[in-house]
Amino acid sequence: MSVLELKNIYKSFGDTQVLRDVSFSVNKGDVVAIIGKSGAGKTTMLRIMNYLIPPDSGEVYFHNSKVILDRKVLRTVRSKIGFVFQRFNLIRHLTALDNVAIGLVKVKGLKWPQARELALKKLKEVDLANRVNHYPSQLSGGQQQRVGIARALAMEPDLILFDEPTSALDPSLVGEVMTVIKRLSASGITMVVVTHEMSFAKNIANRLVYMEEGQIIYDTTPEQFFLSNDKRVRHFLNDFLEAV
Amino acid sequence: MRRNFARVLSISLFLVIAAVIYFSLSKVYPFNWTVIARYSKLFIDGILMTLKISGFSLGLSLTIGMLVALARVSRIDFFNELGTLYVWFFRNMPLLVIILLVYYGMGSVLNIDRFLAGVISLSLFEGAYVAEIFRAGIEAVPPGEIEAGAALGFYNHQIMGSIILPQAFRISIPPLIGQLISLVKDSSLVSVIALGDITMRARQIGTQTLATLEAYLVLAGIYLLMTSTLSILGRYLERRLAIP
Ligand SMILES: Nc1ncnc2c1ncn2[C@@H]1O[C@H](COP(=O)(O)OP(=O)(O)OP(=O)(O)O)[C@@H](O)[C@H]1O
Ligand SMILES: [Mg+2]
Repeated sequence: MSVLELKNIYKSFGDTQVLRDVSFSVNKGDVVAIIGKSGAGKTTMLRIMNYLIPPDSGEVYFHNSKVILDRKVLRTVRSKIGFVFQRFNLIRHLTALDNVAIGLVKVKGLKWPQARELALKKLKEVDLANRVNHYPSQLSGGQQQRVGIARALAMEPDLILFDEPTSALDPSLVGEVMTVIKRLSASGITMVVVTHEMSFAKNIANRLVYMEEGQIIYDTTPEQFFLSNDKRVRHFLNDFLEAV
Repeated sequence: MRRNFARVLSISLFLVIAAVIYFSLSKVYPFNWTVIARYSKLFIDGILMTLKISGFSLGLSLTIGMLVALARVSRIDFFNELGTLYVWFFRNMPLLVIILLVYYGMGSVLNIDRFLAGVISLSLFEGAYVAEIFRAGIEAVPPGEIEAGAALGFYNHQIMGSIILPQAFRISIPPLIGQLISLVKDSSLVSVIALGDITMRARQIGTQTLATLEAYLVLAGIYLLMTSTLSILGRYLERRLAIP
């Protein structure tokens, strides 16, 4: 059962073609890891999925209905797709609690007290019950990212997109965020994670997408990918091991 | 920093008082303070008028400034250009000329009174500067936070109202306080249309009593007092509203 589908997506920024004929489908319960070199187009692909940027050509389908550039349609689609950013993007003038609650108020129409009650529950799920009244600047990167995850969760999305959720973090803080993401994947939430964490790609994801120069080269299982003899894949993995 | 400022202030106040006493006693200049004291009621009337003009102009120039700033960041070209034209015109026109144009132009056509003419001129003029302050504040909001709102499904006006403006406003407070102080000082120019503000009253008292310099020294002291009070209030407000 397809939750989200990309069909023949093309995207250029000025003269540089960033995505070339990308087709891809996420099914309910999938945990997809997207990997690839810097500049391969991973972030761009993720942002096209919730239409933060529209494609030049090609279509996006959410639950088999076509996403179009219409404010009501985008509002509905985006409210059901969580997005977790590399740099957290919490709203600076709101506390952790209100960062999580505001989507419920502004998009789902809840009253603030109910929204905050729900937000508190979600913050507990990411182990932040004792940080609800802190402002983003008073939280560590790992804590900010967990607020970001709680913010996405609170909307009860059908799908969560993660864009390198741990790559802006101090190595010592990666663990606490990965723990939360692993817990979510085990709970059956559908998710697409752009990541450089090979252990996640290998052990947690059930699908692995490998991108190069704006194209999906592999869309397979992690086992098959990591055993592949393809030169490009071996190169990528070798470079990666050296970098670590 | 603040301690230095306080020291410089007290030393200069001391010097001014010492100079006034010296010149009063040494008869270099025949100071006549007693006659000035008899006109204190007129001074107070003038202060109240200056405060009233400044207060109304503050409200109106904030409104104008906000509207023009929104026009300047709007995606609609027409509004954009209108906003740019406004700022260009009023920042390149001496306030005195605006006052004369509004009073003799609008005044004779629409039959508005002096007070309204003064408030409108000041607001039109200061509004252009306020607009630039708000625009800078709006543009200083991190794009990632705007994107986070979009990803949650916010409408554009909700992003503006709940994410951009609350932060833009806080960012704008320090320069706005500076602008408010300019406004109080600039309001002295409305004395040319015989609007009984403090500058006009001082001139009046000077001509009536022939203690001209005395009247203007009092006037200078009153402006310093008003503007320093605003600085202190502004710093308090800034601290109260700061985002942790
Ligand atoms: N808004 C934009 N304007 C112009 N060029 C862009 C824009 N966004 C991305 N690009 C370019 O598109 C290409 C792909 O970028 P993208 O961010 O999708 O890569 P990525 O795979 O996510 O890389 P990374 O691992 O570094 O995050 C890059 O060459 C980048 O410079
Ligand atoms: Mg990226």
